[in-house]
Amino acid sequence: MNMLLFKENLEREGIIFSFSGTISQNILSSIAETLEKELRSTGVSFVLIQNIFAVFTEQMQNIMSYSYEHIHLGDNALKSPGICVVGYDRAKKHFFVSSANVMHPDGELPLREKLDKMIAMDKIELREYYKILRRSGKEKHGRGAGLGFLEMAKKSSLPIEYAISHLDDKRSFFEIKVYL
Amino acid sequence: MENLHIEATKYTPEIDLNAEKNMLHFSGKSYPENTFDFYQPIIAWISAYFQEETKRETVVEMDIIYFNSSSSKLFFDLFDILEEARQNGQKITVHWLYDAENENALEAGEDFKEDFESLDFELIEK
Repeated sequence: MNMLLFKENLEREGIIFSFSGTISQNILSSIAETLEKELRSTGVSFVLIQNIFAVFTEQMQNIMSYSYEHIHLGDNALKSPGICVVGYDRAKKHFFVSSANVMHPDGELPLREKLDKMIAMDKIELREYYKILRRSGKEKHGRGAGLGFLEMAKKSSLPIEYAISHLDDKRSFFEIKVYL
Repeated sequence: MENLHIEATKYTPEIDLNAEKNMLHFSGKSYPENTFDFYQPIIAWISAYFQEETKRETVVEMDIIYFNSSSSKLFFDLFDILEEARQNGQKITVHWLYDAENENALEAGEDFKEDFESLDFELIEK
């Protein structure tokens, strides 16, 4: 592996932090707390840090819950392989949180519909839609309320970017980028 | 009814349910992965507490710095229980505490207040 090339890639993309490996609740909270301290020491505002923390948490918990490759740890605890990065886009002048995981192709269409619907909404519509979904509990399941993407959309400063690449019959690659 | 106290962890708040002081207190962060399992004993305790015949004045203090989307749903369900108890004649005040710089906590409090109009829901800056 060419680490110099890897480093140059990270620098070009403005990546401050990157992780690729198994994501579990313990790893998530350790990373999130460390990021929070790091950003605080560099003078980033409280709200911005909190939004980065929130989007990072929702993305990691989505990977843990929805990755096609998750492994059960017992007691409704899961771990999954995934990739996540936090960076600062110098051209757009915004921080971003981006992540990727393998999903089952059957989930592609509903996921596209769900994301496209919220990408088309403005902040006021998102806040209302969040409240409606939370009240109805329509997307609630054993591990969540189905509100994670909406939470990210509410906090994002630019429209959410995402892509789904078809790998084979059983695997699609999902990536998402949220600017704060 | 026995009090229930749960210490905070990195991703769950300190919880103090006190049936003598009629005080239900939550403080810290809430972002567990299995939110509904984690809060199940707390919800069960609160439901049992309000099912007692005793009429009392209960204060619910929410001092939550950050919570994830599944905790947001859980708190909604909790306020639903409070609203029902209120309709059954219980006197309940919710204190939603937030830091001045924590706009997210204030906005979340405003949204809950709007959703539960019949609850005595006070937004209190710390």
